[in-house]
Amino acid sequence: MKVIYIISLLGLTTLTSCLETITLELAHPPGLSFPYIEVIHYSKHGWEILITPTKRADNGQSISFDIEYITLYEGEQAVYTNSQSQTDKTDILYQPIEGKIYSLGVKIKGSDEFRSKPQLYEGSIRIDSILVNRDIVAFNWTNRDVKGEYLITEVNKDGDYNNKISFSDIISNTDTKIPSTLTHVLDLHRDTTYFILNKPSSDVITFLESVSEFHSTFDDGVADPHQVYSNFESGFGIFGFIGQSQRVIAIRE
Amino acid sequence: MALKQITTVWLLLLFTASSLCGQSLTISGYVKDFTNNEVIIDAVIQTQNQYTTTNAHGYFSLSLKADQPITLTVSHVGFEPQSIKLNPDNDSVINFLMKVHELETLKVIYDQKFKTHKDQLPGAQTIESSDLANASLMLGEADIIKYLALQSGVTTGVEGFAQISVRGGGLYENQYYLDGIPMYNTGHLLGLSSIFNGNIIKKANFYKGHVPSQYGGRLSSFTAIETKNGNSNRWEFNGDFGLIDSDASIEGPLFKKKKSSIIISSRAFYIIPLINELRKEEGAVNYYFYDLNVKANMEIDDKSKIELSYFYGRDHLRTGKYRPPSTVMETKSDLEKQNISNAVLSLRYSNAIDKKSFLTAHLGYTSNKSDIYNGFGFAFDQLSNLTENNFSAQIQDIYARINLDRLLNNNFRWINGVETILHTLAPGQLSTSYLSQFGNEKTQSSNRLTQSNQHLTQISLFSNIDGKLSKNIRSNLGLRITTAISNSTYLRLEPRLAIFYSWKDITFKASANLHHQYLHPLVLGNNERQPMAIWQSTNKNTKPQSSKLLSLGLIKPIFNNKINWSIDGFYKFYNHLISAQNSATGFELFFEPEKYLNYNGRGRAYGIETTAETILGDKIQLHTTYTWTKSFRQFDDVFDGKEFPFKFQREHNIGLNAIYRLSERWSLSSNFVFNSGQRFSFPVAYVENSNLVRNFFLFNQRNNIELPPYHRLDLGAVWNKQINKVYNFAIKFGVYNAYSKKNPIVVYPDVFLEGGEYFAIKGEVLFQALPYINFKIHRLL
Repeated sequence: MKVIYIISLLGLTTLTSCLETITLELAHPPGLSFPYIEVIHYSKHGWEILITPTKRADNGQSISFDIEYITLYEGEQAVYTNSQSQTDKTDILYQPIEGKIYSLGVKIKGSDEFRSKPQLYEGSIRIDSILVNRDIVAFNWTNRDVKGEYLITEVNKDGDYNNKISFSDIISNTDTKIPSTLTHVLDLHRDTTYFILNKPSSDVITFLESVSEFHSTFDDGVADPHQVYSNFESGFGIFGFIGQSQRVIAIRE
Repeated sequence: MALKQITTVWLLLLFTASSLCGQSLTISGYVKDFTNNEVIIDAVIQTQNQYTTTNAHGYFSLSLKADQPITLTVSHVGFEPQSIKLNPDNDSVINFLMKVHELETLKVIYDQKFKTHKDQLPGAQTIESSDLANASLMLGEADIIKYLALQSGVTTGVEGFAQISVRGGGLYENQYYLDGIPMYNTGHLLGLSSIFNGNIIKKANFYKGHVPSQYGGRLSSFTAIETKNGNSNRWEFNGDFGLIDSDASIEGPLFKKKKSSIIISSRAFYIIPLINELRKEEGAVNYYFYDLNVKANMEIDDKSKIELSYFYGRDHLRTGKYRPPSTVMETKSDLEKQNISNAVLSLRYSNAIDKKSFLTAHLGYTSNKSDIYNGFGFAFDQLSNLTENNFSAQIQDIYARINLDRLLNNNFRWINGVETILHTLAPGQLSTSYLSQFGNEKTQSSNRLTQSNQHLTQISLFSNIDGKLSKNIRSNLGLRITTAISNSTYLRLEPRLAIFYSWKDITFKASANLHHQYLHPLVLGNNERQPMAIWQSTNKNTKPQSSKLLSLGLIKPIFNNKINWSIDGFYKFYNHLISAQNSATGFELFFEPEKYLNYNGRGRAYGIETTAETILGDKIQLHTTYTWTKSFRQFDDVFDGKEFPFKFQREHNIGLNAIYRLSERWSLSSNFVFNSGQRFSFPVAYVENSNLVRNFFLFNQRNNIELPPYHRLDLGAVWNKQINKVYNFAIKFGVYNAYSKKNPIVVYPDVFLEGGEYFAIKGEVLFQALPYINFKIHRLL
């Protein structure tokens, strides 16, 4: 019995004494810090501009930069240029025209201009009707774009977004025939005062889907990482439009 | 070269070779081990001008010119060479019984090996049972897959891995045959060892370059493993008892009136159940495996033989446990169980039909089954619930092959045959149940997902011809024609060509090969180290994957014949590869593969391999390999169609194996292995601020970084004593990974939140310095 016990202990030592979690030291981690560009035009409240440094993935550090200018192009023609060097002061004082194609150029000191892919501005959209029945809200709106995808943002009474836009909110029906009107039903889980129906431009939808895909696989442990979409040919970011329709609904106060 | 052109060339050469048929004198027979009557595979039979080797049944035939006196010599590593003088005037049958070389020196082994290597097909390697026994591998196991991982052009994925990547290929691109029958998922859980019991392996042929046309269905390599037949002269017992596992075998004559033998061998991994039993700890991690090999053979007459072999192996892993739900405090419990089983049944008939023709017929069945169970229980106050998942998948084959080995004039060997495989794939069944109880109120639900069985029939015709076109030029030409029938039918041709050219003491070798794979492993992205894959058949959406391999090399003795040196370069192209999409994160891949697969992937791999072997003072044998490899993949839907490094691309690989024969009783051995790290996806940046979305990491390419290198040193010693005529005892001991390098078995991303979010990679290290001791007993009964 003693022999068996000794052999077992040796075996146990062999198998378990070495179980250890280590951090792998990488010789050349590919960390970069560069500008992230997020320029979106909302049909309800205009331009939201965010040009901010990303952090290096290996150590969390970032490098600041100066903006030389940002330029909005209508077709190939520059219609507005802003040369404020600070991000929080950068603005685009130009109202896009429905049916026109726009692109954005961003110039950072020391690098070439980052230019976005062109995007069609479709203007605002309209919710035709909303039905409220206890915890359920049903939306109905006219679908003007057979390939279009929509999303509904739920906003609380303080005006904060309860949900940042995520994939589950995207309403699309691209695999089947798109009806002339779309209906979406929401289950409410909290007090809500108003909703916004959003119609992002195609690149914005692709971007949102890719971020959603990234999050659904990132923590999985077995999936390969997902690439987040960018519509800047050099540089990284998203430029586009979100057509909106807002409805205030008093549900439970 | 275009497929049609290759096929035309092959047909022309085949016609030329077949026209060589004519009247000549033939010497044929079997070569066997005198001690136990085991057939000797790849024994060299030669005259002054002619040369051949025995086949997998120990049979040879040699075509000679009549009316000339000849000296026929037979040799093989480990046996005393034999020569006989003949003055034949008609066909003769000569059977050789070879005696074990008691005083064989390393120099003799070295010279014989070089002769063998020179004539081996490009990229081919023969592994003798003695090679496995002498290598100092993990836990003293004579494991063939771990042995292959020490060879040039071959790497493992990670530590403890029981699968290999060959010439930049994937883990499921390698086919293994056990006594002629294909097998699947050949690694035991935790990567401790492969399912092949090294102690009963007689010989294995490994092909990573030019592949004879009787083998097919995979993209990278083929390993044909032959097990021992057993001693047909007398009974004997072999035991190999180690710290964590042991195996024992018994062999002997089966029938008195017929030449026959049987060998029964079993192996078990028992340390964890034993410890659990001693500790009486309920619910501890439990893992064991066992396997059983039985092989019986009988010579029907002088010309024909029948063999029956059976293999069964099973793995069981359990982690976690259930605790009884408590009404006082919160409890959580989870349990995961995994079972993998393999079964192979093989019936083989061989017949030397005439002096020049040898027929072999195989009939077999193989099965690989995987079951995974996981359950999660939760209890708080009066509430308790339990969620359970049961997943199972299986692949079963019925296999048949007939091949006819025909000796043509001028010693051309022409092998023709047909192979049929009926695959039945049960790609997955998932049962989910949920039970919730609050006080006396119960809620119950269940769901079952079943992927219907798939059937794939593969019928292959193959033809292979090998011989010398002139004094300096030898060729090996093959063609394999395969029809794969599922819900669609594919017809594929696989021409294969190898040319040898001898100039002075240099032998140049070149080859071109085409392969197709009709079964596709479904493996989630980073989970490729699992010893199980769920297999899916080629169908109307999934075309057969293909690889084309070109290789060029030479073998030459250097430094006054003191070093046998060889170098090979290769370039491999892949087409129609499949890969799981990033979004496939769970069982859904197995149930909706069409939705979660990337199709039509392309790939390429290239590299240079070099091997040097030498002996020092007839005491020390050194074997050194270096491989430089690059391997890439490309899918239109992955990272904008940009080519990315393959996960198992390990750029630099060094292997050093030394055996020191200290005395008749003692021998020492050592391995050093260095592999560049495998590839991993590392983000370049982190986007912390966004008005639109949650924060995210930004990746610019898949597998964009190389992990730290893998390296280790193994040291081993064997003490051997022949106690008396019937009893031999040996102790094998050593240390695996002697300097305790922390090589992780699994790596995963880790996100640091303190002081700004950033990304790191963590690894789980299972083995550092790993001592072992094995007691080997051999007893003639």
